[in-house]
Amino acid sequence: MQRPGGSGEEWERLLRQGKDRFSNWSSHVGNALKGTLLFGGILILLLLWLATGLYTVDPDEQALVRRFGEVTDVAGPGLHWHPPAPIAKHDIVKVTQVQRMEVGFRGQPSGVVSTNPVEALMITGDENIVDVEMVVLYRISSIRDFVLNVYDPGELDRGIGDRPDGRTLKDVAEVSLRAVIGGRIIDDVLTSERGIIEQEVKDGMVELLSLYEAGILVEQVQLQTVRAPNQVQAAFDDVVSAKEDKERLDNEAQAYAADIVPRAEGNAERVLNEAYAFKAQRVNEAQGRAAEFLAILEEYAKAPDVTRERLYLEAMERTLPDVRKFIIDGESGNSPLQFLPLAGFQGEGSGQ
Amino acid sequence: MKFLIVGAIGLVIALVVISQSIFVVDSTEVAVVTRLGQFKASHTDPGLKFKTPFVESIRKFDNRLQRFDIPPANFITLDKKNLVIDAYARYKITDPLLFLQNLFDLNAAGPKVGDIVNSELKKEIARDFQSDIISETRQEVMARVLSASRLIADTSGEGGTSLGIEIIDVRIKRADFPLSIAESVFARMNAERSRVANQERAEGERTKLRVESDADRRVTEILSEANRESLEIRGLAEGRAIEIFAAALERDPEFFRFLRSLEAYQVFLDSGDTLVLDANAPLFQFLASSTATAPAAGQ
Repeated sequence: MQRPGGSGEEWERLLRQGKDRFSNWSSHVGNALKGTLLFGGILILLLLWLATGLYTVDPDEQALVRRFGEVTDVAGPGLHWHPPAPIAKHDIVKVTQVQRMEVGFRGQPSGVVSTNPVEALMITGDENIVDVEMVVLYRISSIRDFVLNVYDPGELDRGIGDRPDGRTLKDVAEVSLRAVIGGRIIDDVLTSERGIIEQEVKDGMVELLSLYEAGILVEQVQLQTVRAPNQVQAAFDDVVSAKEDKERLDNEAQAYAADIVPRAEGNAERVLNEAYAFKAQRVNEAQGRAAEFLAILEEYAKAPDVTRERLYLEAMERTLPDVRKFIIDGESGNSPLQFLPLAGFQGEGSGQ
Repeated sequence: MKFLIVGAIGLVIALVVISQSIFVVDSTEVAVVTRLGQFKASHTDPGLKFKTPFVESIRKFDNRLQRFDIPPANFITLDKKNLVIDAYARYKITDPLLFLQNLFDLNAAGPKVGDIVNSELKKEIARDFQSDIISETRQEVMARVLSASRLIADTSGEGGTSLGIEIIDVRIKRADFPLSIAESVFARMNAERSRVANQERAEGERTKLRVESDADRRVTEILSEANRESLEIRGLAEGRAIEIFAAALERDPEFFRFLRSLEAYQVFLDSGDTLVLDANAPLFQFLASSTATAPAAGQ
């Protein structure tokens, strides 16, 4: 064994051999591993791709599923799967919830309401300007129509899925409201015809939305503020207060009448009662005195002369005591001169 | 190794070819297929479609109802008044090929529809009075503009064909007074309101005067009626009293005169009076002598 030299060669050979073997083995193993990894990777990508077809629909929603552009399904609430893009796709829309659109104003979450004059001011049939604000309550009645028929069906600012936000509903509301208000005089708009206006606006909206096949159902139209514009508000308020004044004057007059007429009726009753009282008194007195006279007469007739004399004397007895009396001799003459001295007595008498 | 590379290249080519030869037409779309610029086919129904790869290309258009807002503008009415009108049109593609030929795409189609509707609207507004447009004839104006615009859209394509769209609806959204006259409108409204207010108040005064004077009249009527009745009753009472008296006194008028005179003497002679009596009067016949003969009583 030539250890130093030979061993070196030997080692070298052994080493080379080992290297070759290893690289042989490793390329073998490596090829197998590479294939597995590639396959596994593709499988995972495939699974991930398939998983993108999973979607959930909330209880208040529906999903419209299209495969290669054709509608295949309207899915209700729950977990669903459809073949992933680009084969199929879905749109989820809230359908059961009644939604609210404000026309003429914008309510903030803080409760502050700001008027939107461009929307709110409109002309009435008698060419006055009126400020009308309303709320439209609506919901999606057909997800198919809503998604497929109109480019921009819903309310602006609403953010419906990945679709462009719509103006159609607002346009329809404005057209209907303005047409209805334009057909009425301002007094009717402000006071008596609110209910009719709400109904007509709703009918108009329903008609237009069905013409457009927008898939939106208007549940209710509620007029909110309906008033004269700020520039003329004071004058309109004055009319209201004038109406109040009219009412007040009317009430005052009624109160006056209600006060004096019953009193007058009472007075009339009193006057009549007094008259009846007088009548009773007068008649009774007359009857009494007649009866008295007749009674006296009856007795008098029994002994006229004596009674007459007695009555006369009794009367004189009652009459004469208080009277100043002069008794003169009738036969000495009737000349008034005889009475001259009486003046003095008379003066004394009246002086008493 | 070679196999893998070849496989990958083959797959890419296959994918490119497939993507070039199949396409999807959505429910919201229509598509036109052209071969080297020449019309080949149009698809208005949704689904998976095929074409020859590379030499054929497709154009898709949104098939849903489209909106075009006609910007608010001054219109002159028949009575030479201004009206600011804000309208919109709704249209949709009916024939994708004609649409492609005449309008090319939706960006161009909107303004074209706007032009058609705008000019028809101008014509119609100029035929009506301002007040009518505001209230009564708005619907009719819209209907006439719609049918005229439709006719134009149906015939103004190349060679008198349709533009490939149908105008579904034209609506006047707003018909307002121009801002410049808004102030005078408000002034008129104020004047009109103060007229109403004055009238209300005057009517109130009228009612008050009428009701109050009516009440006064009724008071006078009631009281005078009562007085009349009272006088009648009193008169009748007097009459009745006289009748009763008379019936009794008829029995002996002379005795009544005698009795009544005695009563009267007692009433009208009082302590202040002075009475001159004749000593020869029958009253005193016993004053001088108790044997005098009695005179006739009361004479």
